[in-house]
Amino acid sequence: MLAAVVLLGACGGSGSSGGSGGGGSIVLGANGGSYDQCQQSTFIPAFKKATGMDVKYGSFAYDLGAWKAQQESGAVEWDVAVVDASEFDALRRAGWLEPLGVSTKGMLDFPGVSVDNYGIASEIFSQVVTYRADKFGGDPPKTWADVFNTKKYPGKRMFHRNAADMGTLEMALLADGVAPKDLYPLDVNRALRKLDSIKNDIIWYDNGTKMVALIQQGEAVIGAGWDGRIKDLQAQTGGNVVGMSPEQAIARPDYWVIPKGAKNPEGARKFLRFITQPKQQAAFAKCTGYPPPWVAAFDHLPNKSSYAVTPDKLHNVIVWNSNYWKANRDAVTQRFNAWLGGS
Amino acid sequence: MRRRVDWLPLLAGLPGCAVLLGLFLLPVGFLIARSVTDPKLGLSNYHTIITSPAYGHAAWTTLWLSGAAVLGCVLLGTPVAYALVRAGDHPVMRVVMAVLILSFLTSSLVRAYAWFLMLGTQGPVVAVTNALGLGKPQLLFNSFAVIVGMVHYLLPIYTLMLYGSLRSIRYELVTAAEGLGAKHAYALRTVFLPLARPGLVNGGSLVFVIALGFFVTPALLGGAQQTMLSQLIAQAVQQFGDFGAAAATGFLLLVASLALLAAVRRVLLPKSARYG
Repeated sequence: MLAAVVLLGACGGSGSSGGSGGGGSIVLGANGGSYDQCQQSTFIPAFKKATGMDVKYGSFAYDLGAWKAQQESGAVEWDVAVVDASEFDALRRAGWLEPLGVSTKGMLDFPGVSVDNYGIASEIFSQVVTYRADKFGGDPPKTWADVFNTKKYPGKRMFHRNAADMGTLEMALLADGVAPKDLYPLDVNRALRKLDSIKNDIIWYDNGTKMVALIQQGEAVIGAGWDGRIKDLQAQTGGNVVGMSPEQAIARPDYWVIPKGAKNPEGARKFLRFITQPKQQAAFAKCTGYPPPWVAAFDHLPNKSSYAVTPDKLHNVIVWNSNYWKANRDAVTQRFNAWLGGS
Repeated sequence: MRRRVDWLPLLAGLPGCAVLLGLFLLPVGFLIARSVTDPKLGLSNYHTIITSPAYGHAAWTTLWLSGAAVLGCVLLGTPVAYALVRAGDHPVMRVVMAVLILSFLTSSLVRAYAWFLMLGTQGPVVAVTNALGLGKPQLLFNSFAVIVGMVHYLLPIYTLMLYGSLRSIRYELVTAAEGLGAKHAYALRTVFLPLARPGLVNGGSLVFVIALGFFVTPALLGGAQQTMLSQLIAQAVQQFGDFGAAAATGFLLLVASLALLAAVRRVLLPKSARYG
């Protein structure tokens, strides 16, 4: 219903845009949580001030079904949006994206940081070892092997139940001793066997809000967390409640995209050119805790080392392999869901 | 003699009926069409779902959690509705009525999150069991937590609906039975209960159908074992953009719930009240 209301709003806007005299406006896909709040406190007001254009939020864009419905009906709501790597791949294959026309010079040397001018990274998103510092502060866990070690670190552990996009199987294999360079193609059987060994201790989450709530309330004491959201939680609760280790961070870019059929693609390009400036990127990264995909942005960040990915630390992270998942997403998800449902 | 048709009510109801039918039959038609054409013509979506262990498990989970939630509503809500009918003027019952309506108006997400805090390891329930020397039981992420959350959501709906139906029963009939020598419990069982049966079955059916579509409550309070069909439908749409599989699942859920409802009503309702 929310989407319908927003759609109506967007239609009204397009009807009157024929006689627009001001700076015009663009509709931005929502992502929710602290992510949108950071956009609203950093580059959106700066963009409005610099260009006189308005930026409105549309409905939630992390939703392939919503994209499909908009493309099929021709009622495209967003002008620009952030999507995750899997969704980006699906959108690209379906031909639902417009070229961005944004220079990628000065981007971080990270795999897949820009793709054929159809997607440029909005940030580098990492899954990191996350734990209750008030419980394990003396000898904190560092690796995925620690997360799977129920003797040394007893208690419930949290993982994302979308194994294809969120690295759950990769974590299991790394914990089982697979070297990062031998990770792909994934040995799914071995990963599920490893997960079996702690299955009764796992609490699954399927969104960032639940992930934060689980570790904040102490329902889970260790597990996989998102670097930005965990840093946000640390800032709220003080340093001694929740800890994280970026040592075996599983990293991948999220992407800015412009939907095919967007009502104001030129406005979207103007927006992207503005927000990809180093200062805007640094301000946003400071707020979210996610590393910016632009080298020069790090010059404006005070404590570089707190980010899971920096220009000097690229080889320490494990890069989530989008090519492997492109080919195996459906089959592996089906097997994982069957494993999850069985007891 | 020709039967006379009263045209006025028919005409008055026509626009509303057209809207209702249009808004139900057309989407269901699109849903069925999509389920056999996307991604290709045929029954492949149904074949995938019926042979998938994940869907089978979710279907069974959906049915039994919904059934348990209905049972909880009947056991807790029926006495409340009866008390509201018999003693609605009492100040306590006025407060109960206000509480029912207020919680009916509170969003399901807020209520599920409240249970997340209530039943959590840091929550008041665990604090009490721990103080009583019963240890720290795991109350979240299991069927218990989901059923608690579902009953809490459905109870006001069931109770208010049953209240409306019980209120129309003429209580003088019970008094008359007692006047003729029946004991109070006997009069309630043989006179009041049969009259209340349609209300009970209708209230139970309604909350059962609502329970089948639950999404937020199992996602927040349940574990992987408590995955319900609506969660798989959402995953098919949002994560895979697979409208065909989602439509087929939705249609199977619709058919299964209609069949189940028809069977339950046939067994539990007297013939005269079956479609009333």
